[in-house]
Amino acid sequence: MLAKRFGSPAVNILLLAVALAFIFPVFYTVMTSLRAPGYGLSSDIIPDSFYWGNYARLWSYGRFPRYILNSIIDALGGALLTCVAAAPAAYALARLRFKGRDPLLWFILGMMMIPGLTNLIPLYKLASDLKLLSTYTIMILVFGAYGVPLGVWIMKGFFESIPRELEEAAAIDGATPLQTFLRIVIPISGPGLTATFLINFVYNWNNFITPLILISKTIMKTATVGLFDFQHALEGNQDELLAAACVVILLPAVALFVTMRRYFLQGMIEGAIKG
Amino acid sequence: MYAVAEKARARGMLGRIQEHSHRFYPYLLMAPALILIGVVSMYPTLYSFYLALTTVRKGEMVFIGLENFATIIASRQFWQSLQLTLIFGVFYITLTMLISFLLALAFNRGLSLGALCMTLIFIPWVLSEITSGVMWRWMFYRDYGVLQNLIGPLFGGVTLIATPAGAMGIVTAASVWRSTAFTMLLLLAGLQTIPKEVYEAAAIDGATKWTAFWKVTWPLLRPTTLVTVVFLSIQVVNAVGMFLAITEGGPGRATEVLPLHMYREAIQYFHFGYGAALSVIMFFINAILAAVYIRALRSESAWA
Amino acid sequence: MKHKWSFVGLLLVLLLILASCAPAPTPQVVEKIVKETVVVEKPVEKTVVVEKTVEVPVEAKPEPITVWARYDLSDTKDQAAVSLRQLISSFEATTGIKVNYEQVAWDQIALKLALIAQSGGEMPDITELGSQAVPQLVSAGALMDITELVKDTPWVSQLSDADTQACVYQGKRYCVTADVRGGAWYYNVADFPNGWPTSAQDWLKEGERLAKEGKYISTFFAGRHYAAVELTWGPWIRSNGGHVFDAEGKPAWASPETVEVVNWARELLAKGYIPETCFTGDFTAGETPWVEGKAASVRGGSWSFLFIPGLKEKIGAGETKLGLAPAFKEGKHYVFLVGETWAVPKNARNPKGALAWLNFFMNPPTLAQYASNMYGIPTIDAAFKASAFDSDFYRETAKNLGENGVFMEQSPYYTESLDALAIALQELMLDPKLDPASHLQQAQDEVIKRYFK
Repeated sequence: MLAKRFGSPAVNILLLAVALAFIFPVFYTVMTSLRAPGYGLSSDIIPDSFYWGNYARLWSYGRFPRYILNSIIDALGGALLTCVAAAPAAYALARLRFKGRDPLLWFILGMMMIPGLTNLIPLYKLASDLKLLSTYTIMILVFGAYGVPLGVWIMKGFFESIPRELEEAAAIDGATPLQTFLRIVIPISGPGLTATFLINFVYNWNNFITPLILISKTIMKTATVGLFDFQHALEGNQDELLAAACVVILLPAVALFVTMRRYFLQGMIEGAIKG
Repeated sequence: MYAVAEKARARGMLGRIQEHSHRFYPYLLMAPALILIGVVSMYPTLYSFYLALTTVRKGEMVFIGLENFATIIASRQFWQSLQLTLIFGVFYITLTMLISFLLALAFNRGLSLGALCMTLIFIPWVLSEITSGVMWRWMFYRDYGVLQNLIGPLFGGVTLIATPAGAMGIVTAASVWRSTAFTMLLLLAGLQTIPKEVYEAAAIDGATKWTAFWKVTWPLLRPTTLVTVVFLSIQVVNAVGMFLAITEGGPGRATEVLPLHMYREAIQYFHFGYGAALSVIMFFINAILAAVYIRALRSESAWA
Repeated sequence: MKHKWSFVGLLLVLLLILASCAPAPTPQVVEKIVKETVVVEKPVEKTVVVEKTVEVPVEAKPEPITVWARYDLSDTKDQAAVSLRQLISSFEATTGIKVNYEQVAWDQIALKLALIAQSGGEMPDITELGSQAVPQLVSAGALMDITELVKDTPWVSQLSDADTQACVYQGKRYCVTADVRGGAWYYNVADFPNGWPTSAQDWLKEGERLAKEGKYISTFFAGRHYAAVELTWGPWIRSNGGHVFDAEGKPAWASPETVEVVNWARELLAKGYIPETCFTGDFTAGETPWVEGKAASVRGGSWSFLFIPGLKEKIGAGETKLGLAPAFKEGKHYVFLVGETWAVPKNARNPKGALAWLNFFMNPPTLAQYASNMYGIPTIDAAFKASAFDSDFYRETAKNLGENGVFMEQSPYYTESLDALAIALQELMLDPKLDPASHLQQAQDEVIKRYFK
């Protein structure tokens, strides 16, 4: 009975081995970041002694702390904007019947099909015309918009999974759909909004091509672009420093995922099943 | 509140929301999303379509009709990059689906270490392409890379990343590694929608595990699989970060896939019109895939 | 009443989206996140303040100019940035012209000039530019012909030949070179008891000897990037009597001269005299074998001692010296040259201001200060006489660049062509079965077919 419930030890161990293999590159990178300066390259996996100084070196190296801050602002702002825009749209698509509902749904989801590279040149022009190049505003707007299709997908799935009774009651009391949405639906949508926010935050945090083009001032670059520059600009054998940069960039996203795992997975499943 | 809800149900008011809704409310609710998408996604896409019909001659932007497309079709590099994208796509999708499927089947048994393993397997999904790329590059450095030292000797000690097949293999492996978790979750979600009763009925009929899988699990999972494959295909057409971070298209042009070719033309050579034309082609490839997706969703009732 | 409130709510949502300068936290989202927003917003305000101080209008009559350069003027650790900031304030004080300084990353300047030229937007009045980008940006319609603009200045006639080669394209001047930098071979004295080999033939002999000692003769970057042709292949091909581009800028690399250079490099690689990473690695991977003591020499730039770990110390101790590049048939020890220039973009709104900038900048003492911070050799002789250049390092570098420095030939399809050549060369190096003559020819034909119909 127990074996049936929790699987045989063999399957468990096998799965654990696969899981450990999956995080090996991360482990390898962490180990590289702990090598002494100039010893970043080594065929050993674990260094003889741990050198933590690379993180201090990184902190004083150029603009790296600022890049991290820029990434946080852009990713956070973008994810919030996505939530603000996607939630009402998803609600309308999930609950209300109106003309053009299906085409609009496919239009929004269809945005996912546009290759990320396609829009960059026109977006550059747009940002340039609006004098928004190298600003948080443009990054937040673009990240916000890029997140909308996924956000609508997740939120629509979420709204369809919550019972209708409360909304119906509010409707009977004469509330408009907007009032129902703001007063009844939003307060109980914490999990769905959190999932939308978190998944988009991670996507924005990791986006590389968009900030590469839309940001030209060094001081406004994001961490991923900074890392790409770093990879190309570091002279000589300084891989341990690059590894430390990788760890600093991946840590917030990994920490967010590990602590809020439930929301991430729920959000994705919600979208997948009900979408 | 609950009492009100109860009353509403008693009166048989199901679906009353729709009756009460004013006609313009849905559009108002949709407006923020539509405005945002319109300005930041739709307008630039349309502009790209226009840009694809132009080029720059003697410093002036001129309208040249479909000439860019003619040049693209006549270019060996385009066909080569398309072919590479196809090769990458076939291996990437097959491997991702295979590994994800096996993992989903394992997780579906409700293992005691399930939560822990799920978290670990999901970590690559959380990483950015650029971070992942840097990591994978390290593992294949000559003389130092841990995987180069492990796998290299099997192929006569060559530097894998410096061989065409090796470089493509490394990017494929890294991409599979990054997408497996998400794909696995979609498949797992699909598996979990299959009611236990179906298996019980199959067991009563004396079906073995193997036949139960082919007769019960697979047919019910097919729509999920199809949708997942389409999702992965779209990723193939958009995959640029991993290639840029690991091989930058090399050695030679051995990993210069279509999106990377487009990136190079537009961003490095300033051929914005030509680059836009390439992206229009990529857009249509995606649109075809999307049409398949929509068809699949409509025809499979499990997904309605 | 209820309707009113819902409209207010909706308006708020719309406002948020339209004016979303700052991410307004939605009350629905978890409290934790709201707190985070508050924390991170402070630095946003900071930047705004910084930008505002830059934009404070001065009552001076002359129109302001917009200047693009790579330096972050707030960086007090970067010598070049500190120096440029001083120059800007002294420019403003002397001319009364206000400078709107915009920092643009080095690798982005050319891309952004091309983007603005083709999609509209505001051009700077003057921008820092690497000379290799000039022909391509002229093709993109991004640079202004400034021949007339600078014709009557006191400094234009004093500019060195290097400036002409860097900035004059198809008979027209598109930029002004402030200083030139170039390639340099550094070798470890102890590894060459017979002296540093200065010809391609001697490289094979010394390479054999060093290989027996378990060392590579040299290491350099010659990978899959157009810069590999500029830095490494181009000077060799030229020294062997060949060309990369013809006078029109058409590819002309498919020649017996190039094939000979390829065969020479293939021999070095096949016999293990040079590491494979020269051809497969990135820029820094090309230097790594030297840093690790596995190679007896390294090809860098005249500024390399700043970047290659340990180089400066070894030069100071006399362990490492500057050597001549290997000479081929022509007997020339060519190394690459690149000019650090100032260019005026097409449609710049204030070319007069740009001219004032150039006049200020090309004044010998000012130029000397700038060039020495770039570790480059100024293009005006009077500037080189400044005390900043009174050292063995500068004298030796200036002599080497003056005698052996060579610019890459110009082409309107510069990057595209050189990338194609670099890729073909990489393929030849990694696959010994490929025939050099036909492979180089194929790469050349493809470029000509696409761009020079």
